[in-house]
Amino acid sequence: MENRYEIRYGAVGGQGIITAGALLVDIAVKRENKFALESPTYTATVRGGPTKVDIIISDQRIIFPQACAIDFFVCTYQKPFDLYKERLKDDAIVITDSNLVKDLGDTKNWKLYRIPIINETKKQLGNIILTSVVTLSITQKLTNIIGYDNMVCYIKKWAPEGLVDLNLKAIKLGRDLIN
Amino acid sequence: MRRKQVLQGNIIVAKAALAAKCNFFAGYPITPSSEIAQFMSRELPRMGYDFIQMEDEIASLGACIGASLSGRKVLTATSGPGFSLMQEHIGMAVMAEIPLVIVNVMRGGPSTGLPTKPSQADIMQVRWGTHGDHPIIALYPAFADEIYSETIRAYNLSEKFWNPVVLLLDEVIAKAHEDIELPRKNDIHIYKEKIHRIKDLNIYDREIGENPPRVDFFKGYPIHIDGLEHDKHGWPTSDPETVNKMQTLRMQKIYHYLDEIVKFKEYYMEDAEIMIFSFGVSARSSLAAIKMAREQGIKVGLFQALTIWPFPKIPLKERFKRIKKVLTVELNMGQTKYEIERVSSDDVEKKALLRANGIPFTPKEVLDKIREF
Amino acid sequence: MRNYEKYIRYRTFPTPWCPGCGNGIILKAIAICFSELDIKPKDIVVVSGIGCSGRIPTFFNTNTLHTTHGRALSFATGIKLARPDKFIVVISGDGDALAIGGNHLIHAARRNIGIKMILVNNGTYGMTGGQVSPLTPQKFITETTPYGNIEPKFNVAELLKGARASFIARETVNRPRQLKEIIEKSFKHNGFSVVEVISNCHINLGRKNKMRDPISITKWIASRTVTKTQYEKLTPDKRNHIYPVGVLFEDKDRLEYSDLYYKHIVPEAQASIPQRRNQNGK
Repeated sequence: MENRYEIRYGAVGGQGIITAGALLVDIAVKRENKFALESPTYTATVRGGPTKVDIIISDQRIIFPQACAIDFFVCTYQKPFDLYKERLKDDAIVITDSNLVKDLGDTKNWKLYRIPIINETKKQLGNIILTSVVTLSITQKLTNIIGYDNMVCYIKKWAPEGLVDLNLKAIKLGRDLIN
Repeated sequence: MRRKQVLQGNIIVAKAALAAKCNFFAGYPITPSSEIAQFMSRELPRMGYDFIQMEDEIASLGACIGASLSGRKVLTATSGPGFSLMQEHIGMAVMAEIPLVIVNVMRGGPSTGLPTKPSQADIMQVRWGTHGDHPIIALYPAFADEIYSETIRAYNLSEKFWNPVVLLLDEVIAKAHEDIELPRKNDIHIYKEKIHRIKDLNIYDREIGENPPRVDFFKGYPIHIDGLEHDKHGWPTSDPETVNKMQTLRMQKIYHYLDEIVKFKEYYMEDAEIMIFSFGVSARSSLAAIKMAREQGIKVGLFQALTIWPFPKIPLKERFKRIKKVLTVELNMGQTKYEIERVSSDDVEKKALLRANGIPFTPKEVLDKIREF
Repeated sequence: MRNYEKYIRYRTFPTPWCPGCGNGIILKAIAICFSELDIKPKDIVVVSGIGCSGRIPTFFNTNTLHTTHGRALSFATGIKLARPDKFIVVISGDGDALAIGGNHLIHAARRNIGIKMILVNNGTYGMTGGQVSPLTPQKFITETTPYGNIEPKFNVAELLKGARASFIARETVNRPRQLKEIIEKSFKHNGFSVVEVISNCHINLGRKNKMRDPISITKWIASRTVTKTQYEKLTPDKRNHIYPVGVLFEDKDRLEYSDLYYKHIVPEAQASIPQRRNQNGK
């Protein structure tokens, strides 16, 4: 099988993971010249319903378009955690929100990080929509699947005028949360 | 080098349609195809063309036929239930020989079924959904670049053969955002027919094997277009001899040009002892599985159908002269399995991997099935 | 050759209709209107669905399109949008327009798309042998209501008014001259127009209801219709089963759909191009 890395973000609608997935794939393709694919789920419940996005990044053309052995999982809510923890590798890197995901069940050989993503985003940045960039930053730091400079460059261009600094703060917050 | 982009499958369809000079869209919202309509509603008016959301899928295809007869290149997009509603008008378009491109992003069925989980459910609906004997072309891309090229090919075939062409898409692929390098404008081939100036009513006057000319209202002599069986003038008739001739003309216009219409891709087939027949997302599962199988020394190859109708009968028969093991992989209860049985002789060992519960096969599942041979 | 005859496709005659059918009167009235408004045959498309009246377009020497049952308006919508400069007429029967095609009718009215519709109301499904239609009067015997029809019929004018049609008229085949005038008025209207033409089917409807010849059924039609002015003078209790004829409703100010599309949507969309360019479809 091709050299592929599978990432899954799980949350409830409105927490910004769809954006995080789109950003990650865009940076991987446009800045790193990699092959990437992202499939978000969607339900009738756009706000508050469980949501996931699967991202596959590879050095070669992606053949199978779904995640089947997930290397990296970020989840910020209990219900999506229960629903979407299937197909994780036994040694996957798993990041959960320490306040909102309480029951982890069998943690296998996961490399586990339990951090207060949502709370800290709200407290330090003032808007949970920025969870998207925080999640992206966490992914970058832990996986190195995209380069740090490429990410910062991309976010500077992508962020709406006047909000660049706030987004850069979000990147910093993501990195700080891991330490 | 062209810059890569990340685009959703549905958006690739819409962009390719615009590149093929599509200038009319009528549709009705249905998941998982709605992004096509949304994109068109934004882009077509910018180009001075028409987008309309109709009251249902029946009306949508009606409007498309009307626009096509008025010289437009049309598009509509739907999913299984909407496609069911369109069947009568697909028949009308076949009968009156009107070019149309219909996108069907399939979902589980029957009825409202599995909204909106992937399923390769409409293979047979595409072939036999409308009543009566009729020719149909259906294309089935699997990768992002194929979505683009097959959409353009759908337009070219519909314009050349004056027939509806259905583009089938899997939900997984239509909804996924994937990297793609769009071709340059100059690299896209768009079929351009000779404009026939109609001098008289005999718009359907041609011999077997001849390509029909595209008929357009407002181009010359006032014409009659009918959903009834008609003679060379488009005139309603039930004269058995004429009916026979018109039926044959319609069927033959496609079956005379199979080489041009039937397209497929082959992977690892040179030395294959087992052949997988598949398409769409299942072909992608299969290809990933084949790579795993090859590492284990299993000689397996993939025949990926890009044209699903007309069925790639001749190339498959050719393969079956050498390959005596075939595995059909499809996300339904065996719709093309029977087609494979029809085109292969008894000495070919046949297996099928089938399911219709909304979950695409993982490469591992396909691999396990391969190992059963 | 009279002026209107250039709009008639003589080589397709004879018509499939029974002797005494009202469809011929409607055919001629429309042809005269084409001729008086001097529209080029190649600029006209006459579209129809299925049924006896659905065969009327076949006999016009214009572009003609015979479609599926009930869906003529959807085809016509596509043609009008693609070619707003052309003259689109839809001819539809009562079953075609109000039963199977009812949805398309109300939506075409709501959009106010510039299609001229002639709704031929003969009160039955003539072509299939005389079954009950949405405009069959109550108590009438038909092939599928052998004990009498219990369903009330649509009030077409009120239905269309509710659906926001901008031109609604009614006339009968009894008065060919007035019919031609009403159709001509509807042809001049810019927007969706409907002329309900009350016609006769003495064979498949009349025969079962003691009106087996054209005379008795047209007399019955005459007894049920009055002019708009006469109708307004009637006390409400006398209005039951009496239908006014003439132009019943007209809104000249409402913009036609394709006008609105090209004058409003297209410029608006084009103005949006520069600001949105860098969003790249996401």
